[in-house]
Amino acid sequence: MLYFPRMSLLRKLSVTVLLALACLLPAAPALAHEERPVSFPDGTGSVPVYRITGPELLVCKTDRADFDKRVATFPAALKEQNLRLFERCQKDGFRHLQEAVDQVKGPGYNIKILPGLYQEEPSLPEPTGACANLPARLSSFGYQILSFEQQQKCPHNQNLVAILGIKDLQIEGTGAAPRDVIVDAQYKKLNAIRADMTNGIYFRNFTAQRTTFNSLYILASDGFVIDRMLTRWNDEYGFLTFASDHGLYTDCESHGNGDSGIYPGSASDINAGRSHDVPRYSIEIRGCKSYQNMVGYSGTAGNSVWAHDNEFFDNMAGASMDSLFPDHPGLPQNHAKFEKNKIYNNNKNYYNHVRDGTCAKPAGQRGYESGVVCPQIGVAPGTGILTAGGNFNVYRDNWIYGHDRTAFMLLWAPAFLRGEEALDKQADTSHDNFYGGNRLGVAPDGSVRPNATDVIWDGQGSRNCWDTQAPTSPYVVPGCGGKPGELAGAGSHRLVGEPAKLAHSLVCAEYNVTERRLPAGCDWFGSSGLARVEVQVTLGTSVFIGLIVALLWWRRLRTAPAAAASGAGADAAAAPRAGRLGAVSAVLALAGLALDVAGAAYDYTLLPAAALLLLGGGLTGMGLALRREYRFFGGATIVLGALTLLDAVDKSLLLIPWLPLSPAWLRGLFAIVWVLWAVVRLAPRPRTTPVPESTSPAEAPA
Amino acid sequence: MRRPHPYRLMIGTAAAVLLLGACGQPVTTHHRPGTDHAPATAAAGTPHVHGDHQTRDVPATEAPSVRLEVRPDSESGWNLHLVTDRFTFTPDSVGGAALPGTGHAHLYLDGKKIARLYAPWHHLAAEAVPAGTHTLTVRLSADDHTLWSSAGKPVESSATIEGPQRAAKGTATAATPAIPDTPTTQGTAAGQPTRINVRISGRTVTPPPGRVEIEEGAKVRLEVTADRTDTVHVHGFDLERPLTPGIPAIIEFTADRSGLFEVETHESGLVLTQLVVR
Repeated sequence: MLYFPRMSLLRKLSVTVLLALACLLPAAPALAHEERPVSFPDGTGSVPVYRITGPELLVCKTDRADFDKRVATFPAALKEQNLRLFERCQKDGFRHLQEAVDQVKGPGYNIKILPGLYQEEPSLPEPTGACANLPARLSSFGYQILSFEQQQKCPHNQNLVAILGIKDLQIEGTGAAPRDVIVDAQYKKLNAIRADMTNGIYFRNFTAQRTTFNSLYILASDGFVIDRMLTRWNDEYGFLTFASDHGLYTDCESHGNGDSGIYPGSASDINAGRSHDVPRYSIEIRGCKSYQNMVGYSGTAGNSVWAHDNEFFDNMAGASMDSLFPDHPGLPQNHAKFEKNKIYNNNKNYYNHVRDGTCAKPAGQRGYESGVVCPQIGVAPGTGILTAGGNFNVYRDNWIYGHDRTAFMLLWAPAFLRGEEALDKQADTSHDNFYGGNRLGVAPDGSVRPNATDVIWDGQGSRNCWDTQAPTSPYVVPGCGGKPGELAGAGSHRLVGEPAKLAHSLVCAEYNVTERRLPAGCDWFGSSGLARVEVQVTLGTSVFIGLIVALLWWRRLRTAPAAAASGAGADAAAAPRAGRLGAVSAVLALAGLALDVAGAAYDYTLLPAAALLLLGGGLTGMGLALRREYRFFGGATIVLGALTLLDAVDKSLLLIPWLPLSPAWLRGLFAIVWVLWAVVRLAPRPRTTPVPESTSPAEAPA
Repeated sequence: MRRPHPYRLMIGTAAAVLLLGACGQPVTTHHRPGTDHAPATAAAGTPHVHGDHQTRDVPATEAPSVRLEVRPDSESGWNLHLVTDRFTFTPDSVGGAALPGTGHAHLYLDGKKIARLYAPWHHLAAEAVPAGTHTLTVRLSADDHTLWSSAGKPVESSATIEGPQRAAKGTATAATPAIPDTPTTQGTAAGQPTRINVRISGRTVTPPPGRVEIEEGAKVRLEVTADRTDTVHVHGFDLERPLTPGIPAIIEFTADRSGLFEVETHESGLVLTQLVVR
């Protein structure tokens, strides 16, 4: 039991609500990492352009026979070029990428890596001497959070290849495809390649793979390009770019990551404070493919990212952006624009690898190469695009199809989750998100590939809108106008999410890969029917309220005629009618409560609204019958019934605008008062009392 | 003294309760530490160069293992089954660094490499095997094409295989792989195979276990019918078949080595018969 000293009821309630909300935190894909404090670049840079001039450094291996085999099937001209480069490289080239990076004397260098496998053996030994004892805080993940100076001093404590503070460097694989040049960390480093404070860096046409965190990590850089790169098999991310501006991902590919393939986290927050009208985007992502990850794309504070013409498929969820975690510059997340992407069939469920202990093995033994993914956090499998706290995001003209759960999921992330406590900030997400004009449930070839639902939304936030075809949860959502910023109707204006969805998040958030904990009540991990927390909570509530309804009828309504007949000033002729009204109403209410249990798992249908209609009607009727004897309690019962009917309207006809709390909340909060009141009214009356109307033989305690 | 802001107090209380485990974790960090991010320290064996190939030696306790099973296909050729332990096929990462317990297999016919196998099952076409007796060998290889080895010996397994009779017979069965009731030019036994039928009921073996004399090089057709799930094993030839209740398991092979070999069941430990090959 929680104890809150000297707090008002309201404040206790607030704390309880906040606690529930706090537990929401890890429910959505929480896409983040721990890093030294960094701030955004000043934005004076630009997106670098591919160069064919400038000082050149070559990297290759020495085995000629192996090289011949690797280039054997190249187109003639490319093969010729590579053979020439190989000869040159034997004379004045380097055997490891890091050796070449260390020879860069200034901006504008080009490093060419020839086809081969690069394991960077000189970087592999365990740190010794001062590097083994750096004074730095340990992150919760177990690695040290090093300063830039410490990274410079000990570049291979965490990185296979470290590019630190070098400007305008271009690194290119000279093969026919990214797979011809492989930088392989063999799960021996956190990062395969770290580019830190490297304005103007350009990566092209090679593969980086097998790390215990990220394959390619670009940090605090103004100007970067990731061009035809492949990353795969990482505990967390394929591409991770953080606190950077003027970035371009183009024609990249990533798969087999425990978090996401593409992560433009804390992209420069250049559009904060603007509406939908923005001058530019900080990072552009185009022509990329991301598959067989926990999520294809993700970004805590993925601000001002323009993602277009990409394919995110065969992940647990296609794309995600959020505002859930502290220490990410630029929160809350805002102004991502998703256009013309194909986001489909994101229905993978990798939780079996957590369940059977595969993910508890060391990284190299989990089998990432044969399709194992270890989901780092709880995510709802079967989701197209998830937004957990974000504003002014635009999702339009995308193909989103074939999802077993939903095309779009939108949730609220209260500000204190990211460490901001000011009250006026708590509801600063999720607003003004535009999900209009997408092609939902249909593939580009015209074939019909429906999503199970088009929207799952907790109902919080203002001016969010959707154009939909499949069912949605809630049953009605605000429609979009023609362009971002325009709605088809009044929209909605709620400060808090729906209680049932909060309870659901609370349970799902208990997922923990380390402890192999897969919450039994959460459908994300396979529970169904009565095992689902929504159904259990509804069942519990229905049984409890049902008991009160039944007792009220048995003790206070069934005998109403007798009480009325003997009562002072009662209308004796109306008494039997009131008795019948009470009985019919109680039956209606009980039927509504029963139906509500069945509807709990199907809130994208009209079942919950039908249940609420019955319950609301029943409670109103009971209130009318009770009013004869208990004027105020009867009145309260009518109010509860009316709020329930309002909830039915909210869940079937129109999401009622301008309400800061949904009818479900109003009804739930009022129900607490009503239940207490009902218990008082149900209490056996004293045998002798000076008030005659409150005594009847049937109600006297035995 | 300055009073704390009421909401600050409220949120502070909430955070404190969270820290105490109200819903598992504090909210002050990034996503919960997930899987172990500890970098791998194990070395992927010691490479050795042997002429045109390299081996990668790993201690016996960590070494992968392979057993090759050859089954005639019902239509043509053979189905090869690689039963591996401590090994995963990783076709997607071929060309990458050697990682313990991963890679692919190389298939050799009489010592000549004929295929690279990326999965535990492989269909070998009848045309791939010339007439006569041949040795099939599989060796496990790392992603970088070095061969896994233990104590200096490659991790491998072999089986003999009879190439089909072709034009010589000129029959419709010519293209199908040799099975023992097809006469063979090998060895001295040009006639029908030696047939041995054994039934197991409970712990009773019918006929009672005895010795069967077989000429070296002769074909043997062993048919075992059991009343429970088990595995039958022919020692010396290292042949195994699963036993399914009521369904005869058939093992056909050429007794190409002399000696005394027991045929027994694994689970129930029954000796079914002894083969005396000379």
